[in-house]
Amino acid sequence: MYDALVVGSGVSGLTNALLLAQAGQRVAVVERAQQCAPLLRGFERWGIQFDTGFHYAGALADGEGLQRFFNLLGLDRHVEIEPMRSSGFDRIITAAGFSYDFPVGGDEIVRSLSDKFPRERSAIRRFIDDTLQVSDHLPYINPTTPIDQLSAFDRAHDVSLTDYLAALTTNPMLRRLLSLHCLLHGIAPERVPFRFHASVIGPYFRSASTIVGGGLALANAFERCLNEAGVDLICDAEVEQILLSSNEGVEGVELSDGTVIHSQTVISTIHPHYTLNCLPDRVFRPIYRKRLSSLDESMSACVLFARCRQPLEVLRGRNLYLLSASATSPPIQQQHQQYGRGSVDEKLLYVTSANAASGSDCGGFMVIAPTTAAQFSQWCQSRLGQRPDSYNMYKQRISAQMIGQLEQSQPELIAAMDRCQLATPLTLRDYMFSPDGALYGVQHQVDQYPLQAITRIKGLYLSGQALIAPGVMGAMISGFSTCGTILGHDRLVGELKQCHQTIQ
Amino acid sequence: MTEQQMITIINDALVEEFELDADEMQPELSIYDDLGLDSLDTVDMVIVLEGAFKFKIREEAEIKEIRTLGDIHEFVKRKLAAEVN
Repeated sequence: MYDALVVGSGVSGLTNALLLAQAGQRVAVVERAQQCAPLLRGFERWGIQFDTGFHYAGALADGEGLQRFFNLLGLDRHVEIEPMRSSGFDRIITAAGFSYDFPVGGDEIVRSLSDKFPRERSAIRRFIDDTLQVSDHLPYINPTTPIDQLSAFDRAHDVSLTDYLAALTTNPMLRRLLSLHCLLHGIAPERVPFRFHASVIGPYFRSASTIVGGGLALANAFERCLNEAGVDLICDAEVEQILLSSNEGVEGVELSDGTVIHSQTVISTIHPHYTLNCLPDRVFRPIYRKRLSSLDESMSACVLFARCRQPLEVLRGRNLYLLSASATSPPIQQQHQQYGRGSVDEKLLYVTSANAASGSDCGGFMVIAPTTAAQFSQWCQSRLGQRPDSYNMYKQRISAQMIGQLEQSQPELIAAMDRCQLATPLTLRDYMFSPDGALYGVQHQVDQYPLQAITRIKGLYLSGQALIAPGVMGAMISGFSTCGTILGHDRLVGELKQCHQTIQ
Repeated sequence: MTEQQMITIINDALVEEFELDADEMQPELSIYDDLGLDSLDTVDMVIVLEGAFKFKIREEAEIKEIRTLGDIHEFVKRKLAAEVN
């Protein structure tokens, strides 16, 4: 019998587990993969450690919000933070030869971007100020921010990024440039609420960091902290049902092998669709079921994983955002019109480095090209390792196209590359258990009311990126937010303030 | 739309989406004490009304004042009247 059971061992699940264990609760985490945090962990191939869940983050510098989370959970003892290039952590290059390096610091961005767009200085200042106004005051990330400052109504009725930018500037290139970071949440500029976009993007403007050893190092740090805190990690265990007592409170979970684990508190951090599938039909009202089951997915992507003969200087402490002349895969007009969604810039290639696994002196990189699962719908019935030839041929075509685009802009990457392999939205779907191969799970869009941690079922709580935001930061905030609901927000905020003082 | 048609749309939507008893939908009843909704249902109620009338509800303070089914009818009536004007 546990005080609390956490379903899913991603960053939000592990954050929930550590916070509850630190509060003295007996906690178990149930994970269907063989090891915890599979997405964060990434994978090794050809001597290269490829990250799939974490590439870089804001708010990790000393005294910042995410660093404070790491400190409170004990993760900071096991990971080393590495700042990216402060003069330019994101380099934007267009096919027409325009280039811009995003530096760290609001004033620095205003100064350098105004050099590129001299007539747009006030628009740029406004964008940076509005963005930082949101991201500097995120709940938990900033312990002085009141927890219930923003109501569900405020969050649902924000303007889209597109509408915000349209009111800001008529310069199409500047609008496009300021929309490129939509890649970091996977929601089209037409759909993403400005405040949500700012909450994800703003922290990078204050500081941009990586973790030495990448997501794997963070996953290992979590595992050590779980051990230290006495949390039971139950892997290779798929939750089939969330069990309810006769008065419809939570009683525990039943695994697919029939094992029952008892607890009167269950925190589900898995995709809301899958949470619904674990419950009897009648426990939620029809409207709430519809809300959970009709959430749209964030963008998917084709991802090229490549090894090169040596580490590449151009990618050290820096990501590339390459704007090609043409899209990697033809846009699916019909689908976009159908849902009125728009898409993340389809002519964008995002390039980031991969670390050599220990003992290797090679380098590696990943190229992410936004796309939709619909592009691959004719093969959607096929599974990993059993795809038809036509799929493999299509994959080859896309690989060749991505390599061609990359070669035009960054020939040295292709010259150094000796191995590569493409993952498609179907690969991502089957690998991440994410419907449609969404990179970031469900999308947060304008006119959509946020989900709450608390549910009608006594003892059942929701957590995870679907409630707050994607990325390590969004997932960790959702952990604090759900545990705040259980343990009391004031208590957690108080602990963070203590960290605040210690760090400063 | 007549007022009766509006009330029918509201009541039908709430009966379906909150699994309420159609015979119980009397305007004087408290949506919380009598119909069994709670504060967790407020956002869902707003979503049901937005879906039924294709308008956006931004009047948070007014929504929080709603106590009875009749209050919902009056709220929607004001919204629809404001849209016509």
